[in-house]
Amino acid sequence: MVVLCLTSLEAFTRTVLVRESKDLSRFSTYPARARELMARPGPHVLFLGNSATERGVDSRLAEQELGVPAELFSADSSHINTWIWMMDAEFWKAGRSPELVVIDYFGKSLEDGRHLELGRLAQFFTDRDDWSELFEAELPTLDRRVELVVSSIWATFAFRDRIRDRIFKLIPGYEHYATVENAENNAMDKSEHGVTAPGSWSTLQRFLVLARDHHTRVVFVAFPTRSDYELEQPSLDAIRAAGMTHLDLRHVPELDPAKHYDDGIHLNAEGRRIYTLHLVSELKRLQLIPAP
Amino acid sequence: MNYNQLQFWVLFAFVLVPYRWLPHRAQNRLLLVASYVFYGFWDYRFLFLIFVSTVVDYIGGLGVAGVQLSRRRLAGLGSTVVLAALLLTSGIHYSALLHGDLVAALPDGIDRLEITAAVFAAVIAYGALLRVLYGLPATRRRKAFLVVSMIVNLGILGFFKYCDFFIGNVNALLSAIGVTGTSVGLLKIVLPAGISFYTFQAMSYTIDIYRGELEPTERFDDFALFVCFFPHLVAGPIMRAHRLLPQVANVRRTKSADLEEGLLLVLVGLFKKVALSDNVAPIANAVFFRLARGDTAGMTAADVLVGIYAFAIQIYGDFSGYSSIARGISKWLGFELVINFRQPYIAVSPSDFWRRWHISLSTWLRDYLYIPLGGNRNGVRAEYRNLMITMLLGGLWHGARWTFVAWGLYHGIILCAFRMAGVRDVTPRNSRWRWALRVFVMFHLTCLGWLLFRADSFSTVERALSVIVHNPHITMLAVTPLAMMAFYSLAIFVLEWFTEGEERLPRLMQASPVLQGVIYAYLVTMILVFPASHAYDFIYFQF
Repeated sequence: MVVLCLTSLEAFTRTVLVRESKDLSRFSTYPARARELMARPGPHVLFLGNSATERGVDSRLAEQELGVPAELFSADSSHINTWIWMMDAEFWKAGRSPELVVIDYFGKSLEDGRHLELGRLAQFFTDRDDWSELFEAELPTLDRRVELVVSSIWATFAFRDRIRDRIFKLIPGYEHYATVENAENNAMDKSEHGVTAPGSWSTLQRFLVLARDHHTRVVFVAFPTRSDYELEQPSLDAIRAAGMTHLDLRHVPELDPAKHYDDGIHLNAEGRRIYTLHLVSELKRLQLIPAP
Repeated sequence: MNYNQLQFWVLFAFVLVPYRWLPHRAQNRLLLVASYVFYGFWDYRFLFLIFVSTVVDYIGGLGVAGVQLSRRRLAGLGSTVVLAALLLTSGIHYSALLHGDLVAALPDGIDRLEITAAVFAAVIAYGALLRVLYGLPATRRRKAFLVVSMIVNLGILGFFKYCDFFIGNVNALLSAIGVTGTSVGLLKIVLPAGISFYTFQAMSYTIDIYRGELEPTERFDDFALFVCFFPHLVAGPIMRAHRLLPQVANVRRTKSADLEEGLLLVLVGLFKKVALSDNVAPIANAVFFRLARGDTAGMTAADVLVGIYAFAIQIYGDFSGYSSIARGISKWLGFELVINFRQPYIAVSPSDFWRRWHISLSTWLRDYLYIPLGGNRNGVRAEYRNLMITMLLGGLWHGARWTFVAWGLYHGIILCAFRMAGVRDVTPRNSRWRWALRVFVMFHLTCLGWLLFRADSFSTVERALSVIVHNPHITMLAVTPLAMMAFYSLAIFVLEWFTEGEERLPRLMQASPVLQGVIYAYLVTMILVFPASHAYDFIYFQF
């Protein structure tokens, strides 16, 4: 009975949940899209990031304006510790090196210790060969390591948070309540733990080394969120030291906080168009697009 | 390292597999080592405290019974204590030792030798005291050994648990009466996990021997295992010596039914911890954090009540979950621990509640405090006084905070109030509606107690009560978490209704295979697919 129940759940997850989830179904298209991008004559531009990038950058418009093939890969609520594996899985490990990768980020997304959704990493962006590096770099505890291994073979386990969210979304007002509850719990954690330990940026360093080794130029772009945030000097230093570029676009004059945002982070359609054009013009101004 | 961490289960497997093939004495030694290792993972330095408690109560128990240990054995125990102090306080980096790095494991210096020297001096002094005690006439000797055991146990507990509380309150009192410049700095003592549990357990051993209800054990390893038996070491149930010690001393047989019942208990316990308690904890935290920082604007009575209900479920799932797992793995090892919870939220009166909640503590307090104080033998006034003292100390047992004292007092008051009013217990068989009403009332009285228990200060309690009184509205924001709580808790409460808590859990093993399958499938699915995204420590570890 236990086996039957878990098998049915697994079948449901793989056939219904993965297909219906915008985020997950998108990931399964990445290998083909990466192949297609690199099959076109270069140089190739990849926009990488989280939902801010997804809803903030129009890759078709960017392609048109830049005049070179461009693609956009994103994962919701992801940070540097996911982007490095996305790049590796879809490009570098397969021997594909896009000439330019533009990473939109905000807040502390480049710092170590950001939330890492192991399920999607295990199911889409890593395989057994990556485990030792992943264990070493991101997963110091036995529990997390086992979580990764189990997630790689069991989709229900990998996407359990999404399953729970889907069930609770049936309860009226769940999403609003979850936002309020998370904010309170995060504030409580901060007040209980007091001064946080000094940050580190080792994943960013690894990312930069990999990019350099694969001859990929990376531009890190501080994304314009509605409320301001501080840039982290150590990450800027690391980017500069690796010979890569940092673009501070936190304040795009044409973007009106009252008119161009759906919420504190995500741009609406008009905001997206404005930001894409601004980003493209900056990339052109800095002559970051290599010659074909 | 604990039950909600994989590490524990991996190490436990390393214990369980050889355990089943070993002879009885070797099993005990394995369990003793495993118990120290498990506890040492939390903070190895505090193993010394357990060891001191163990040695003092071992010698004390024998002393009360008139058994004098030979000089050689005393010297052996004394030198083991000194050696333990040396090893555990010398600053050896045991984590490095675990990784095989001998150089990194070396202590940074020898500046902690004064602790070992102090322990050595204490051992010499205790040895001298023993010579005096052994020379006393039988009656005085029995009492003297008991007193020494109490002083050492309560001294350790008092120092580690209440010292800073005492200093803080003396400072506040002096400052309130205008005495300035005398403030004493807090010692910022780390509370050893489970100190209240194993101290009470060790004390009960000496007291029971003093009362003539128990024969002392001459085997030190048996007694040491009784004190530190890992399944229940840090959060109970508190086991009396007359129940646990014979199980340690005698050969244990494990039947296949025990293994199955153990599995069911472990699954139920894990479910209660990882799928129930840890999932509702953020609901309670969100409400109590708002109340604690005084951000009550827009809060309604429904919001506050939801927070309190969530905490009621959280603490029940957390604590009874631990007890269930402790009982389950003990069954696998051939031990039988007492049931610690019997559906406390269907209690119909305060006395009924205490017959169902943390039973091992309430019976301990009854037998070693309430009854020795006179119980209900010296008239109504004395009975109420004894009840109040017992509950107040029971509250203080939970922690060094005035809100815990208030929680104990509150329970004392409602116990007395129900007795004064002569309210008799009802069962669903007497009258279903009256019973349901009484359960409803008692649950809310319990929840009022939980408000005191969970609040970090009396201001938080005041704010919560003020919101309940002044803003008695229901909002959608309160209905959502109620539905979430129902999702996590309904099935387990229904299951407990049919099995009467853990009382008739074996009944499930006689149920149809389909029903059993459904229950196992539900528990496993919930544990694996719906665990909380954040694993919280067990609440009772801090006690």
